[in-house]
This record gives sequence, C-alpha cells and structure tokens, in this order.
Amino acid sequence: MSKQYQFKLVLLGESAVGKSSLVLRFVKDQFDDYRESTIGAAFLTQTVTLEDQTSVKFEIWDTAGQERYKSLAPMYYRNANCAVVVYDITQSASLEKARTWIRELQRQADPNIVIALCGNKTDLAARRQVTQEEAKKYAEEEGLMWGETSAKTGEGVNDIFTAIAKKLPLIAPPSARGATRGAAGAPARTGVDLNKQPVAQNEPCNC
Amino acid sequence: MDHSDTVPADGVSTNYQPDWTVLRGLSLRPGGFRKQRDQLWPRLLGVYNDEYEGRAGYPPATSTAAPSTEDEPPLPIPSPDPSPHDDEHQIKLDTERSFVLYPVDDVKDRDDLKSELHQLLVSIFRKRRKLSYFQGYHDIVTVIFLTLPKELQFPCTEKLSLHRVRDSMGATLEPVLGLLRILQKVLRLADPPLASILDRHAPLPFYALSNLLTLFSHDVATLPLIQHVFDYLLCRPPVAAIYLAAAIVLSRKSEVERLEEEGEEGMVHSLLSSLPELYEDTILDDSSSSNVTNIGASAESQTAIPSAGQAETEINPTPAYDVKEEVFELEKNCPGPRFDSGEDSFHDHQTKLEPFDDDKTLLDSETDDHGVQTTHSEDKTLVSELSTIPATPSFPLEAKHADEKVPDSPHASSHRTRVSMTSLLAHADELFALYPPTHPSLCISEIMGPQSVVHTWSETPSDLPDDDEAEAMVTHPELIVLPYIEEPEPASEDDSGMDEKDKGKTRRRKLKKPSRLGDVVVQRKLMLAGAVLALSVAMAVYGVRVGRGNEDHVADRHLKMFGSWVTGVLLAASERMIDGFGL
Repeated sequence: MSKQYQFKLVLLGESAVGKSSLVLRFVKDQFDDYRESTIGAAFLTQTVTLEDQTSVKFEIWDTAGQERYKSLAPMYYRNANCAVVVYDITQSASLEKARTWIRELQRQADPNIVIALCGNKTDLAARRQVTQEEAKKYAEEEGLMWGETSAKTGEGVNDIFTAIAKKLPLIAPPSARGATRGAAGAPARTGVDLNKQPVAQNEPCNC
Repeated sequence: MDHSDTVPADGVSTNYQPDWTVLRGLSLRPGGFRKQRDQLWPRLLGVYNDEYEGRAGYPPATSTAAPSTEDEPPLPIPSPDPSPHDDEHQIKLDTERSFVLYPVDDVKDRDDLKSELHQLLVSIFRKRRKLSYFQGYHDIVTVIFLTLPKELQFPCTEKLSLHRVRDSMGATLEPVLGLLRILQKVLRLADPPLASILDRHAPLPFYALSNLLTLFSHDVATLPLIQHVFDYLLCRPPVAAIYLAAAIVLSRKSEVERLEEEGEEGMVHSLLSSLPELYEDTILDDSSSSNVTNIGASAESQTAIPSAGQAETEINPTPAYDVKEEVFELEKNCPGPRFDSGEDSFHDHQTKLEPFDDDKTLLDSETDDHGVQTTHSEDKTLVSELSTIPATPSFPLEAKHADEKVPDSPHASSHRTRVSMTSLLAHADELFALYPPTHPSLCISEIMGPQSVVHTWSETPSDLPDDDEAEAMVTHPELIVLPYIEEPEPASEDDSGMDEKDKGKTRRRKLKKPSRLGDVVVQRKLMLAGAVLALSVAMAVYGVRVGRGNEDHVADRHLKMFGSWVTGVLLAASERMIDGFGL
C-alpha cells in the first residue's frame, strides 16, 4: 500500500506578490487577472501524488500580506511543516520582505520546517528587478529551497510544490494524524477558496 | 424651505436625527432601505453639513430619480495635504485589484472606477492622517462609493471611518481581536456545544476576522446584499456587527458538525470564512411602500418621500419572537446580574408589514451609473412577516419561508446553507436582545477600552466625539482594547459548556504578558487598573444609554457628558503615565 502523508504549509510574503494566485494555480489550476486581497488567512488543501505513488496532502494556509496582519502569522506557521515565502521578481523590495519572513521563521517556527523561497511573476520577466543569481545565492546560504514561478502561466508552480512534497517525508516526521489518516478511500478534496463565494454571476464579466 | 433656525453652527440639528426605531424596522425588510440610501445613510452617519447641502442640493430628493452628479460642482473635499500618507502604496495595491466582487462589464469602466476609488481613499487618509489603512477598508469604501452620489462619498466615508470603523484604523490589529473575543463569548452563550467545537479548532474565531474588519463588505457577494447589510448596521450600534457575525456562524451549525465528524481541521475555518448563500426574500413592487418617516427630514425631503405618513410602525409589547425559553435557560445556568431583554430600545419594536401580494414579485437587474451590474430591488413591499421568523438560537439551516417565492439563483450550490437576509438580520437582532452588550458574561467592559467605538458611538450626533478627537483616539490603542486577559481553560468537550464556563469564571484570572510592550509590564498594569476602574464607570453610563429610548434627552446628555469626562480624565492620566515611563 502506498504511503500517505499530510503536511501543513503556510504561505508568507509581501502584499500583492501573488501568494493567493500561486495557491489558486496549484489547487485549482486557475488564474484570475484580478484577485482580491486576502484578509486574515485562507485555508485550502491539495494532494500531490508522487511517482512512487506516495501521496502528500498539503493543508495550505494562505496569509494576508499587509504588515498589520503580521501578528497573526505565528498562529499559521507555528505548527507548519513547510513554508513557501513568496516574492515578486519585479519588486526588489519584496525580496527584502521575504528575507524578513525567513529570519522570523528561522527564529520562531519549528526547527525542522522546510522553507522554500519562491520568486513569482516570471511572466513579467521584462520588468525583472531580482536576478535569479541573487535569489539563488541567498537561498543557498540559508539552506532554503528555491524556485521561480508564474501563477499566471502556471510555469514552475507544480514543480515547487512537488519538490516540497518529495523533500518533506525525508526530513520532517509526518504528524501522527498525517501518517494514519490520509486521503485513502476519499477522493482528493479540492481546496475551498475562503475569500470568495462561488457566485457564478460574477464570472462572465471579468473580461 | 428654511431650516437655518434649526441648524446650529456645526451644521448638525437634532431635527435631522433619524428615528432609529423606524429605520431599524425598515432595515429588516427584504431589500432594506432600497432606493432611500442616498437620504438615509448620510443621516445615520451624521452627515448633515450645509456645505454638502449647498453644493449638491442636499438633502437630495433622489427617492424617485437616480442620482446624477455630472453637472454638479466639484467635490467638497477639503484641500488635501499634498504629502502622501504612509499607506498610499498599499492603497494603490488594493485598489488595483478592486471591483472584483461586483463585476464591471467594461475594463475601461473598471479602470475609471478604480481611479476614482483610489482618489477617494487617498483624500480620506490625507485629511485624517492619523488613521491607518488596512486591507479590506477599500472594500468598505467601495460599498459607499457604489451607493452614494459623489458629493456624499467623502463625508460619509469620513464619518463612517471616524465613528464606526476607527478601532481597526490604528497601527495594529489588536482591537479587532478584542471584537473576536466578544464574538466568541456570544457564540458560547448562544450555542455552547457549537462554540465548544469551534474553540477546539482555533483560539479565536479568526474566520470572522474579515466580517468584522470590513463590515462584511469583503465577504458578501453582491452589491444589493451588502447594501442591505450596511442598512442594517448603520442604524444600529457598531457592536451589532458582532451579533450579525454570530448569527452567520450559528446558521452553519450542521455544516460545522459534519466537518467535525470528518475531522478536517482547517476546513472549519474554510467553511466559516465564506458566508452561507444569502438571498433576499421576495420583494413586492408597491409605490406606496416607502415607509420612511420621522427621520427628522426637512419639509423638502419629506415631500420627496412619497406617502411619508404611511409608516406603520408600532410598539409591540410582546416581541414577535418568543425569547422567554432561552432567557429561562440562561437564568438557570448563568449566575450573576440579570439582563432584561426588554431594555433594548430596538428589540421591542417591530415594523408592521404590508400584506403579501405575490403577483407583483420581481427583482430587477440593471446597470447603475457606474456601469456596475447589479441585481437591484425597486421600492417594494415586504413580503414575509417578521413574526414568522424562527426564534431559537439554533438557527434554521434551511430557509423556513418555504411558502414564499424565493428568487432562486440558478447557480445556487445545493449543499451550501441558504439563508434569507431578512431572517439572518432578525436573528442577529434576537441575539442582541438575548445577550446584549451589557450582558455580564460578554465582559465587554474587560475587553474593549473606553475609546473603542463600542463605547463612544451614540445615536445622537452631538454626543459623538468630535471628528478630530475621534481621529486622535487611534493613537491610544491601549484605550481602545484593554490588555488581553487570558481566558480560563476552555470548556471541556462535553456539552455542558455553561457549567464549565461558570466554574471557569471563579478561577483566578491571570494577566498575560503583553507581547508588544514586554518591557513595560508595570506601566501596562497600572494603566489596566486605571482603565478598568474608569471603564466600569463608563460602562455604567453606556448601559444606561443603551437601555434608554431617545426620548429622554436631558438625562442622556448629562450621562454622556459624564462619560466624556471620564474618557478625558483617563486619556490625560494615561498620557501622564506614558510620559512618566519615558515612552
């Protein structure tokens, strides 16, 4: 029988770098050009099945980026197995913010937490302010996973989550319940978007 | 008409005061205030200034015509401080992704709307520089922006911000956490078994954060529905939002229980962070139904409201919903001072409703001046009778108005709880009546400080803090929310939540070390002592005011003056303490 794991993942990063869009792409394979800001935090789940049939279910907490919501963040990263810290490759200030988050995680979060640094918006590479070399070097120094993504095109999104899914079972001991109760018998639950009611009348007009 | 003799220098006249009781009744109708928002929202917010009247023909006679702002003079926005406010970058980020919830047909239209919204927000923060912007504030302002004519947007946003949303506009989130603690207590009173499940999932009802921060504007899916929610909130004290949030949570009990069985931890947050599917009860077209009267309108605006004399509001000595059973339950289980649900001025009144005529049922879809697609109700008559609204705190999970024609959304998800707006709002009122802010178990006086809008708000505009004074209050977060006092151990998992809680209350409370000011514990403790002492006085004042109708103005005024005095003394004292500690 294949192994099943369940891990808690938290997304952190400056406002408007694309955290919610990244999750929406990963969980629903969708993208909205206009995505409303996240208030507080949103919860979604997605299951990744690896080549060896191991399934890893992510319980994803997508947090709000504005500084004033920062005091809520510890609640979401406290028991997290992994964190994806997102920056916007077109905004160098967002990498600085990511560094701040990473320092906080290194100080406050579980010492075994797997941290991935994620440069989003590669579809806007023409306006790039953060080079791959710079980010990659920093990630190596700090022992972080690193990748670039475009939530808009989907480029790199599954790669980064799959890489985390492969790494986690090797590093972080799965939580007790994660090991005993996976998605067995039940179809993988698709995530639920916290911030939007599924009112279909909203959809046709977003052109 | 000439009402200059009734308008004092500050532009506020007691003559202009709304009849809160009548409006509370109206806000419960399907569709709420409908086309009268242009008139009613400004009044409810205390915007009566002659400045706007002169420029925009205010009070506007717009109950029959859509507002047109094209030929009007420029906005009466005070010349702003040209230097940018610190939060303007964030405002830009958020307005760039605004108008998502209420879709706009045309990209260019949307860009125009964004730009106007951005300008409005920036004007507010450049004038009220002490206020801080929070993500979600732009959602609140979007509702004002899409509802009121241009000349009223700035003054109404300003008043709303200073006197209702202010607690959330300081530097930190902590005041909102205070509101969440009150919500948690309301839930524990209203449904201990459900509250016990929720308490196991999260230390505070964080799923309701955006409800309370954004007055539901971030969460309600359509403009007509959020306008109705604003109708409801604006004619009630700011604390009413907590009861509405509680009613929403209670409406989803069976869904929460199902998830609990499935053991999905975060899914409870996920479920409760989105609203149940809301719908309006059927609304009838009836030109004689504009029952807005006694809102202190001038002669001019009264003539603008057809059949103003037809409001049939009567004081109902026995509320339609029978609360006796729950009160009895509570008395049995909860020692301590008793509250009297009959004290609440707005719960023993009920708007008497027109008979049901289902031939004229309709909902209109139209495009408003902003090019925003809305499903929007004309002046119509209420269909359902409020007396049919179920009373038990275990809220009906399915619409009880089965005999009514419900405007069915073709996209309705079959498994999501459907709740009619009317019954939801009535249930919130009912919770307020059962567990009013003065209820000892809510401990509001131990949670919110004397400068919280929970305590400073008043039905009487002249009793509100002065605008500048209100703005300055955000700089004293310690007077908005008191230092967090750690809860006793939460109730155990059995269903006897009340008993557990009562035991908990006898335990010694312990002060949690303040997290932000860890090095000034002594100072915080001193301030806490002072704040609690003064606050108990302030709460007595507040309690009396809540329990009083607005007829007894003289006594009310005296009490308010005393309350202001207490606040002033407290403010001065805390400043001295802060100085003393070299902060």
